[in-house]
Amino acid sequence: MFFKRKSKIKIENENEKEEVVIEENELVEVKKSLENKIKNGEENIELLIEITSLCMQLKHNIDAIYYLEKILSINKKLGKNYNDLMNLYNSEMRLAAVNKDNEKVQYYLNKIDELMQLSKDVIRGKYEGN
Amino acid sequence: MDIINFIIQNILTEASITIALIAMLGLILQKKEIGRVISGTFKTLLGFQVLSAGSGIIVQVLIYFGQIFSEGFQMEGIIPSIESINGQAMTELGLGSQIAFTFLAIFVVNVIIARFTKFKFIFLTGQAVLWMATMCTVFGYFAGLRGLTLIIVGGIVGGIFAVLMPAIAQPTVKKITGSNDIALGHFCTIGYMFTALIAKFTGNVKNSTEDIELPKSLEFLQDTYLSVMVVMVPMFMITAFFAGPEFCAEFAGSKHYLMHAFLQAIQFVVGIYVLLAGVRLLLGEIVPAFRGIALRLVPDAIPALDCPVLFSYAPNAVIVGFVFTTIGSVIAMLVLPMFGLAMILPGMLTNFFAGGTAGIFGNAWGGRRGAMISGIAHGFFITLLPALLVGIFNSLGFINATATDVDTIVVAMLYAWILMPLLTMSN
Repeated sequence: MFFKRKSKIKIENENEKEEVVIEENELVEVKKSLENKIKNGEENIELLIEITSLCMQLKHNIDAIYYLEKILSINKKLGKNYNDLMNLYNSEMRLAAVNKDNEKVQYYLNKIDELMQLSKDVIRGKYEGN
Repeated sequence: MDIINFIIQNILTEASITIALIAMLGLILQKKEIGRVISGTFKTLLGFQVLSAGSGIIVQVLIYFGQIFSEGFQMEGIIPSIESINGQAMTELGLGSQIAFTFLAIFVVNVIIARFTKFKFIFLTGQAVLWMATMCTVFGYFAGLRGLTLIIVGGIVGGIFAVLMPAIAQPTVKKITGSNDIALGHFCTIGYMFTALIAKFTGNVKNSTEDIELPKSLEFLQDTYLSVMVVMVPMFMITAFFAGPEFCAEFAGSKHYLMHAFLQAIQFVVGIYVLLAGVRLLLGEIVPAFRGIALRLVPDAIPALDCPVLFSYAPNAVIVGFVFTTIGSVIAMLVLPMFGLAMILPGMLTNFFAGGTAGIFGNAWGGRRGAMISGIAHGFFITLLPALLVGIFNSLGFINATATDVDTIVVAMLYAWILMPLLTMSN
């Protein structure tokens, strides 16, 4: 009985895996099309948020960081984008620490510092109207 | 022997050189090129001199303020400023080298604890570690510790706090951020936990501060230096008024005494500004080096970051916390002298950063009502604690100032009320 159940789970997992692969391929395609739109000058906040969300689903952290930085440079607001960027900097810093890559550790520490400065400035109303 | 004596008497006792050498060590450990090592070392040296200049400005103003306050109100009027305590300790009291070595020792102990225990927090807020090193050194010195013992004890106490404070805040930080990836590295944590406790019992977590529209009229107070000025200018002018023109003429000379008081208040803000610019320059080379090393030695570390890391999760709570902490500190300013304590003026820099973060903690546990009530309690709490230390600061030769960040004050109390009696008993 246990054997039967185990094999069923295995099949389900394989199906899930297949679904995930298909979904990932689809997401990559959508990401490519959005990247083309941005390249063709269609850059706007909604598009950047959409592509960032795709990058995060695909765990393309470096791309997600790139687009989140763009969003925050246009729209200096605290909230989800800010928090996502902080978490991504932190996870990339950790990765760099595991790989003993001091340059990258310093790079992401500086990025975290910059982001905290932005948080202070926004709270002080420095970017009113953005 | 002569060389060793020369090193001890002329290098290790000269704070600016000691600190510059620590920065140089950090840069060499990072394998930076020679030009970078030299420029970084000299920048640190410059930072110390800028800090000294800022401290000099502040001390002049504090001497003036202390005297007119005593004359005007027949009591002590104390300005809470950890920057000023650090500046006076490093320069006027000649504890700069010891503070620098304690700073380094705190980093080392923090890394050792994080590396070998389950508490993986690495405290990355360099400025806060400098304040902690200052208080450990000053109160260790007060307790009778000297030399290497002073530094080792300071390193152990400060290092334990560098892990313990993020650890006790972490359940609330997790509640706020929704993850365990980032911790809070700010030595005002005991105040935050006090705020959380009050908020839990007085508030309602369902009504968040983030659902309300805040008035814009108080926005000018959010510029921290401006807010210090907004408090200091009336305080100085009212005090000068009560001290009277004759007494103030001693300081003001031919200038009108109220105009002189106004300019002295501005001068105080200038002093803080210069001192903090010096601190930034001083730590600019040391902190990146050592936090890089710390993170490589503890790759699974949870970085404990400065308080603005939480601002984004509840920006309204920051403003609510700041405003209500300021109200609490004003109440404490008026109430504490009735109990024989010194009058502590509101410390606006702390009210903004610690008050703002306390607002986030209050909101997390008690919503908007909790944030407001606990904010007032927080303001009272962070004014009461430094008031208890005024006597010790005075006896050590500090001029009209007391510390702010409450965790550093608790450390000072541990030294003064536990370590010192133990040392006295053993002697």
